[in-house]
Amino acid sequence: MKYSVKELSLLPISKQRWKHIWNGFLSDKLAVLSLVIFIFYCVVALAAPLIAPFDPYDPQFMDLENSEIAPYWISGDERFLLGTDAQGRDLLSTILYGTRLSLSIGLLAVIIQAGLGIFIGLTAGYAGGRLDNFFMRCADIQLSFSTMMIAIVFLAIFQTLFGSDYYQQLAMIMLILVIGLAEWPLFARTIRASVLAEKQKEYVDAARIMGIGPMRIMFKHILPNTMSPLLVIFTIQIANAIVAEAALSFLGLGMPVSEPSLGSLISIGFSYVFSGAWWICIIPSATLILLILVMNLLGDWLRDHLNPKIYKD
Amino acid sequence: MKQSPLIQLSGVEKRFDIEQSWLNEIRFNKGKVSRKKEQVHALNGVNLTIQKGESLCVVGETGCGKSTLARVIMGLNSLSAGQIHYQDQRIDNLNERQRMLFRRSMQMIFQNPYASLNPRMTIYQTLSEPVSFHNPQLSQDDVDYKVAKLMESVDLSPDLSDYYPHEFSGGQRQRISIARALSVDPDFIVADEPLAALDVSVQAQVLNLMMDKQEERGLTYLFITHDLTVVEHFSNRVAVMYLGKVCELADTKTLFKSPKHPYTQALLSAIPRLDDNSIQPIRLVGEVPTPFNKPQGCVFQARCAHANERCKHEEPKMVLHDDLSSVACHAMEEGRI
Amino acid sequence: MTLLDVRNLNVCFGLKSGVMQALYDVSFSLERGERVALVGESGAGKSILGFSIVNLISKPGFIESGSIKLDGKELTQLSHRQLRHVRGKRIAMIFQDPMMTLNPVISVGVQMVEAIRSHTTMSKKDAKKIAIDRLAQVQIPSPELRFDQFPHELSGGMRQRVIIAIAMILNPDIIIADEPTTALDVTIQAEILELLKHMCEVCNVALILITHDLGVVSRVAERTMVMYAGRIVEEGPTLEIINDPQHPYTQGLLSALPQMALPGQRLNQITGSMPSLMNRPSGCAFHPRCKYATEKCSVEQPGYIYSGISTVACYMVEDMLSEFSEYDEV
Repeated sequence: MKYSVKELSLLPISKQRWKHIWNGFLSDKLAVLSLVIFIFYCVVALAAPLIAPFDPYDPQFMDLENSEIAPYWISGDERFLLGTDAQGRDLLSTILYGTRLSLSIGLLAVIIQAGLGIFIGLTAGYAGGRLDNFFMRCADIQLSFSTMMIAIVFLAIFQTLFGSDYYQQLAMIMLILVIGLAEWPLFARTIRASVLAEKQKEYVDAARIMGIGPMRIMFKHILPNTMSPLLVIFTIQIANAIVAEAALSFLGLGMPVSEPSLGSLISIGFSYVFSGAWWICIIPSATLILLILVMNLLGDWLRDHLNPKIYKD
Repeated sequence: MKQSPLIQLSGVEKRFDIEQSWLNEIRFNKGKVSRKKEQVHALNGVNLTIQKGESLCVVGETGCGKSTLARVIMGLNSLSAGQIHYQDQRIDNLNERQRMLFRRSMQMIFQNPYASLNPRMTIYQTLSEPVSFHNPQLSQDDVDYKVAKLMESVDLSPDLSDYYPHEFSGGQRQRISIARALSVDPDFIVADEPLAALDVSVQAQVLNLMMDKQEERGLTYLFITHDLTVVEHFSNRVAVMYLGKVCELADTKTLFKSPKHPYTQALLSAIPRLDDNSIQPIRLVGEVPTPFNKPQGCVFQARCAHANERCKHEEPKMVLHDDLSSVACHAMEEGRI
Repeated sequence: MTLLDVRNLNVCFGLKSGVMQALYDVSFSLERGERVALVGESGAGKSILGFSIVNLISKPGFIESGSIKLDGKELTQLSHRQLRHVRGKRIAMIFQDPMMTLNPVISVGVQMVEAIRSHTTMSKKDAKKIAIDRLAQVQIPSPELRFDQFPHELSGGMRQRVIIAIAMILNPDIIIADEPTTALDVTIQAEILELLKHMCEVCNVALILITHDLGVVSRVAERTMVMYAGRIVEEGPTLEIINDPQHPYTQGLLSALPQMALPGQRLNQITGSMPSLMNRPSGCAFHPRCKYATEKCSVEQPGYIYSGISTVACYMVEDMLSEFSEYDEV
């Protein structure tokens, strides 16, 4: 067997395996770096109210006299480490709060997408026949509209129905719901394809012969075997969700200007890039790009290593 | 033998639709729109009885429907026509819940040991699932004990139970499959080419294990294979299948001593023998026909050297001969061979 | 003069975790028109040997040392272009799965013509004539018709016939057939083997038949080499090896066959399974599974010795022979 290293063999096998994965992880410098950065992001996002020097939601700190101050290393202004934006808000604080918003919108939206997509994809793939046809045609229809279009229509209707004040209070929930519901077909299709392949395999027949019910077969036997592609999509979709949210914010349908997410910060800052105040756009962009890159790297790593090798080594 | 058979198949037919979307099924014929389904006839009226305690081998070439036969008996595919009885109870029309009773007594071993074990489940998980599923009253300790016993019974150390399938060799995996089949204490096991993916020296291990278990537990086997040397060694009775029909059914000894159906004769002459190469294999003319449309007459007539006009139109019936073998062949009936 | 001469061939695979040796000191020779079988279980390295002969092992594999001489010309030193010439024209290969060699979107005939024209300067018309000739030679009915068909329109047996025709098309000196009948049914298998044997006899082509099936061997090959864990452990005339195997592994392999035991009785089994090449046992690689193994076997690799029947690498045989010779001296 593989784990014949002496120190390992003293542990129970399940622990050996974790140890093995952990050792593999530690030896992969890129993965460790990604994890460290990702944890840093999460901590910063969670602790934003504690760390941030200012509260960007507080209009008190919005002082137009302080607007567009360059970062500390250029302007030498010690109050604002990363400078300020057009409204005179401290950019560092805004980015901290924005990361928090973007991460939660991205994660929650993708959890909705994944939940819906996995359930529909599994059912369609396993049941086959009419149900499969129905769900997949739904997915086709859904995919033929772009997410943005659905989101714009939906959010615009909502906004006119309830008024923009009420909307601004609910903006985050609405964004999560809209982005979450609009992109399930990607998950559903991916998982359906894997399910169709797995369903042919004899272990599924063996489970059926044992009399195990379809729900248990679907979720306990087939689902774990289809996880690898899902992990990758999961991370990519978080990135997409964050970007979609940014785009919606840009159109005035996302987070209100008073509570900017990373995305809306970038889109607001974009108009200042050429007027000299590049930092309003560039610094949040760098933050976002790094976050997305790190998540993709982690997703790839997870896919490659959490997989007890399917066939022979 | 007065004893009632364990399994009885009567007139079993299975047709598969060739998967097409319904748009492709629409045909234009003489100005009329009609819907036409193309079907594969995998089984064309199979009659077979399996007695308790015997091992019946089903032999045949690729595409003769022998795997479909196994799947149909296990209820993995529904029947198109015919009936299957298990100890005088009809089992082919049961729903999942009603079938549960029979799940414990009928099990299956699969061909590919690399695909028949869930790669994401450890051996313990694979074996304990059916045990606790069918015996919900068992405590955790009892389940653990039973899994350990099972692993020992197939010559695997229980210490290996936390490993994943990919960490085992093909032979070990096939033994785990056998352990899983035995986990619910069945009476009847269908083995679908269990040796095909294994090396020679490992085949012997698995075959021995299967014979040991039969002796220990009084199992009944339906053993599906294309390897005639295994058949000769393992089985009591042999059913030779060709294109979804049984064309000869006989005791193993009788079959190997005096094969009657022309196809059986060709099959036997083609076995690669170690000692004796004097037997020239009988060359079959023509190609193996595809089972797309139900053939007319005798299924074998296209490749048979003894075929005449009658073979082309009339389907031969199974006829019982003096040595208790039954053969479906006109030439045999008419004494032309 | 020997046609193919392989001497002390060592093939390695460079992996992340280190270098893995796949072939150990493999030596054998092949005469013109001779039919040799290479027998072993999966993981014995028999396919790797087949590929090494034509230097087709893909990265990370490489020939570490040793020589392969075809008609006295060293193959391991050839450039890619020279090798390509050897591959198609002098040495042809047949694989288990015909679809691996046949391009599914090009008709059989065009593929055959291509094969001819890539090695000769023949016109298309002549090439077609030869191709149809060859198709007829491998007993394909109505070859003109088959010429224009696509591979998926042919049955498995027919495809393997086409493959044989393609392999024969340039009159090679050697055909390496890697499990050519494993994917086929018994009746078809017998036909294909017959055909292969017949073609080799007619065209005076040497055949290296790689297989795991001893029954197939006895039908086709004159000489047999048994491989275990990357090494040839026994080599000799087929019939004699089958009737009186010397190496414990060959003995085990033969006695494990169902036809060697009485019906219904337990088969002789070799315990354990083939070691992976990653962790090859020390000394004689077979010793953990061998019932005759002694201390010596686990330490040192036995050399080859001629037992009077076959050439074997086994200390047990060596000891037995020296005992006999002592008797003789007394």
